[in-house]
Amino acid sequence: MTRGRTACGAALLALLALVSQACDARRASGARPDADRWSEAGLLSEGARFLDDPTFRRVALVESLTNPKNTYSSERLSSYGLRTKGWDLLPEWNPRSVVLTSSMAEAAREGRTPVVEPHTLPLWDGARPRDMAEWIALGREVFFRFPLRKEPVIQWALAHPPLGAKAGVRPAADGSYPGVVAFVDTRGESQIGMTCAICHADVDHGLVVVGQARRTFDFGSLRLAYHADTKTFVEADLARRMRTWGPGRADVTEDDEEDPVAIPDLWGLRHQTFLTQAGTLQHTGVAALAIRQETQLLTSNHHAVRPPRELALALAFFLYSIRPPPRALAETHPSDLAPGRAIFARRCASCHSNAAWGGDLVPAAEVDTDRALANGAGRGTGHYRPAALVRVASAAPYFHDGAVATLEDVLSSARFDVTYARGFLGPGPVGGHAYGTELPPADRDALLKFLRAL
Amino acid sequence: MPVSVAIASAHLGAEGCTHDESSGGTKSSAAGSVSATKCATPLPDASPQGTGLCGGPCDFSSAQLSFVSASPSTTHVQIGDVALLDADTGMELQALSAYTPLVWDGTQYSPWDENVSPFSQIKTSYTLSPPAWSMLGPSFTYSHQYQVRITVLVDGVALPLESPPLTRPARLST
Repeated sequence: MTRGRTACGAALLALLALVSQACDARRASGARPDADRWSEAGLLSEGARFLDDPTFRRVALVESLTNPKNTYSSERLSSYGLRTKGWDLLPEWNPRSVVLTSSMAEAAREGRTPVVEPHTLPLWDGARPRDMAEWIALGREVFFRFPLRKEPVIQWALAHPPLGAKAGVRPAADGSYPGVVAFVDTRGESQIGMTCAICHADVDHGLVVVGQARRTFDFGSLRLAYHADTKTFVEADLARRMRTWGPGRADVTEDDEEDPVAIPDLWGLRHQTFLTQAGTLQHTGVAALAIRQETQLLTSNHHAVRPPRELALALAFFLYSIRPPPRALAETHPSDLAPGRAIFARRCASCHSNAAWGGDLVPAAEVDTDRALANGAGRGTGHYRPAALVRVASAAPYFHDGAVATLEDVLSSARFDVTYARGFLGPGPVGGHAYGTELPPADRDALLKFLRAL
Repeated sequence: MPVSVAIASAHLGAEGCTHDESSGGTKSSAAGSVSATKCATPLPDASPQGTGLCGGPCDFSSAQLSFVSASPSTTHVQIGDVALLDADTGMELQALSAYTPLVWDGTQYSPWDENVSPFSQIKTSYTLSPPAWSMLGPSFTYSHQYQVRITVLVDGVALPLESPPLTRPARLST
């Protein structure tokens, strides 16, 4: 009995000590949201903690994971921020990487792998940026130049320019290929790779639009064409799945569900309270996004290396800095938008509530669009994040999976009908997100006018 | 133990992605378990880096290990058994092998003789023979979690290590 009490008391003391340590860590880390957190000074302060305080990084990771049980979360919980084991022990890789030039593309067209010149310096000079402008400048380099592994399919696309261009691998007016790099890999060999920009920067009439989803990028069809041309093996199930992706969509989850997502624009990311369409991460602060980027650059490079944390933080700051391009439509007089604004406030703003017109998570059962992603083992949370509506008029196709081709059809009950034939993924009804579909035509038109002005 | 070792990461790649060296591994390689008849026209495997099943783009399996020496003398290390485990049950699913030891030189991974210098700390990488995913049962899917057990021999003394739970990479890893 006495021994039992002693053991119990010791266990209680140990537990209290753990709780106390956790509280101390939280206090020390400042991981709780505070009013100043999103100011420039607050962001830089939190960024410094992300870089220099391992306890803070671990706390920030844990706080950011919406559903700790999905495979995305469990992989990070078992490997990130553990100091004496796991990913903290990986070497830092500061790659020598250049955006593919027209002459390099010419080499690729001739079947040669472009060689990175020996004098090419690493992406980062090792000096920590001193202010936000320098962080953003460094983050831009990461966005365009940090490889997400070598990618033979992109190299094949360069050797087949018409097919490559059709699938979104095309140059800007200066001949460079945003999102495609020649780099020296972790074994010292020159390779072709892809970067964040292959999905999140578009080329519009030769101009690079940073943050705009490259909705022509069709990785599935490119890879299928690669296999067909090179007569190389591809799993039958993977081939079948890739045929369903189409342009601007891919299945990026670590699970069995067929849940390809439409590439999202990055406008207003700073204001999103959750990251990924399924809200896999709570965007509690810049550390949450920096950890997302750090681990993404690590896993996409086959877990062999990790990026310098400065580069992950810089990328996060750069993503916050991205601004949308001018509206495609002519500016509308505010008084013309008033009716639609009022309808939006009444019918939409409870979900699309933040400064980017996105919002907090909504149960997938309530939204009732395709639930595979929200309930998937990979990144699922049981919820969806209301999409940001900045430049929504240019963001087709709509819904997380890109199922609806036009903004008009998002707000039309016609898409519920079995005869509906305008779906982006093919004929047949497209259910879910019934909000707004019951509006009288005049109200719907007013709402559309307002949405087109966002 | 004069040298401590920890698993930094492990990566479960695509079936059939192997280098030529793996055929001499300590365990039989799972490569080639998918019938060659499934390949349209197998390409000659001329690349020293290996090209995967029938020449397709490859996602190699690997393990990254960190060694810290507290020894005043050079210590030889080696990888013994490697196994793919079911993370739920701990059951061994397949024997794998480790080959091509590399060490991080500050810039890249370079060939390594598996000797750990006195009082040094090094980061290393081994290619693993690929899991034969097609030979596993239907429940061993992309959603399932696995572990890799690696037995490291430090001056001949066996040191078993287990990776954290792992999944197969997404079909398009981002």
